Amino acid sequence: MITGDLLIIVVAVMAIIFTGLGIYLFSIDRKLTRLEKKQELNNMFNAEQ
Amino acid sequence: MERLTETKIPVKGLWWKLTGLVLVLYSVIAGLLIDVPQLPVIHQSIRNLFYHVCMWFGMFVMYGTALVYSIKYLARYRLEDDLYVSGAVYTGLFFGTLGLLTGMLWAKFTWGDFWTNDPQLNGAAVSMMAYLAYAVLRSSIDEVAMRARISAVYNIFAFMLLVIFLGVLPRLADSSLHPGKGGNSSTMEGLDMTMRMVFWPAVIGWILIAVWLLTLNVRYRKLKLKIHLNQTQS
Repeated sequence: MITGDLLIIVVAVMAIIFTGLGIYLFSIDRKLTRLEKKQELNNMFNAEQ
Repeated sequence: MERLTETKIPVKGLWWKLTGLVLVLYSVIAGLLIDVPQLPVIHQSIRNLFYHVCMWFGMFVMYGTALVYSIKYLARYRLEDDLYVSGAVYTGLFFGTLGLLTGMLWAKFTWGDFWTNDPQLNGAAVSMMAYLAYAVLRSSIDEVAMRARISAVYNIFAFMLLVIFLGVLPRLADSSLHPGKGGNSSTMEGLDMTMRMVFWPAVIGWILIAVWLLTLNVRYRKLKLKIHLNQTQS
């Protein structure tokens, strides 16, 4: 039973770590998208001038 | 002449990133919970197949991508292709390191040592060094076009080394501890349906995560390059 409980803890910790990594990747992705849009706007502004 | 074009990242959208994450998460959880066959020597450590081998798949896809973009770069000299080559090699190196670490851990529990004199292991080490040399070569050349050209040619050579050292020589070796090499039967033949239901989704998941990391790497460096170009122009 102790082994079973420990396994559940290991699985839970792994799930939390991988979910955290996933959220981190999504946040980087969103930041990059925002920067790319900003850069595009800057380029358009420069082209108009 | 080399130039930075405005082509979009080939794989866009959210669905494949979410799919990759869900599949990896599923394989991490299911890989620890499902029943596995009780095989001699490897016992419960066979679960590492869901992590170690899948990371190698991710690495192979990255190095394959680097090869394709190297050829593309040499055919049309687009700076963006060079960004893909280096991004794919660096992502491949990351997955290769993860694969080596998980493999070493597996070796410790099955063969009693972190590193054994096995043709597959030595081949993996040589291939990793060939790709590390790629990173050194790139950092040693300052001129952008020259760096892209020389490293693209070297990358084709490095991929050939990878195929020889990981795909050909271990199979020709007289003896190997690895399954499917040195006359041993393949692990895939011994995989039951339950294990296949975790293994293949894990392979797809890790490949998708590798592609995601590659696109992030390329997008970041492309953005940096654009900002640099804008600053030098103004």
